Amino acid sequence: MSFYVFLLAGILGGLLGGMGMGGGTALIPVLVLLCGVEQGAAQGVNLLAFVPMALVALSVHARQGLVKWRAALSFALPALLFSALFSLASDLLPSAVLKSAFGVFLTALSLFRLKRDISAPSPRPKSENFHQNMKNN
Amino acid sequence: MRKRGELAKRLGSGALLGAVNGLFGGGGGMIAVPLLERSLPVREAHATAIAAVFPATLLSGAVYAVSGRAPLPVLLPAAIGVAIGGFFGAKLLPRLPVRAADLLFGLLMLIAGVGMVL
Repeated sequence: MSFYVFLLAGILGGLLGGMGMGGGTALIPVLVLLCGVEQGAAQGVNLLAFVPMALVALSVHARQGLVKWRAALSFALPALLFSALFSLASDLLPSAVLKSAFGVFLTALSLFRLKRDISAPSPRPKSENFHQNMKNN
Repeated sequence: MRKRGELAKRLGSGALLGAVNGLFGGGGGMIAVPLLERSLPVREAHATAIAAVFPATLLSGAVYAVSGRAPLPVLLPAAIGVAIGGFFGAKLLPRLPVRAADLLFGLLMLIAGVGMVL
């Protein structure tokens, strides 16, 4: 039974993610608010559940020469170090604190997004390209 | 000089997106994309952002899994669902009215965010 609940949660999170919402954060509130999963577990599941989709998207983009590896590397190296430190640190926080902190983060992201959308509506090229690429391949 | 400043900015943003990725289990792309868009065309920026965040996602994902924060009974169905939903989400996107969808998503995020603080 719960298999199908989490499958549905994943479909919802993937739909929103695929449409460019939340930059890979949409699954977390779905799991926490709708399915009652603990905050830390929802975050771990979110990270790993998007790995297959990211791999597919990356290989499609890379074949089209859209990935600038040198630029990616200058982000990825410090990101590796800090992601290790902060993923360990998040384990030390009480679940309720982590949930509230995540809520503040999501609220800030949404306000940033709404402000941008209201001042200048932008096309969402990533997923559109992804769609195009899927058709081309 | 300008190039060095750009590199320093990239390293700093990399550190920030890594911290967000590790602490909140996602959202690094939201930081990488706008910064990459300053020096790359939009399509390249979005594609490059995935490559920039991916190694950090693997590493934090491994840390979460080892510390018991990625339960398999949740992860397995969720990952299958994400693959299905992601495929249809990408297909559906070009058919949505852009501005209305953007505003709707922004509002959904706002409601979810506030809901989690309360």
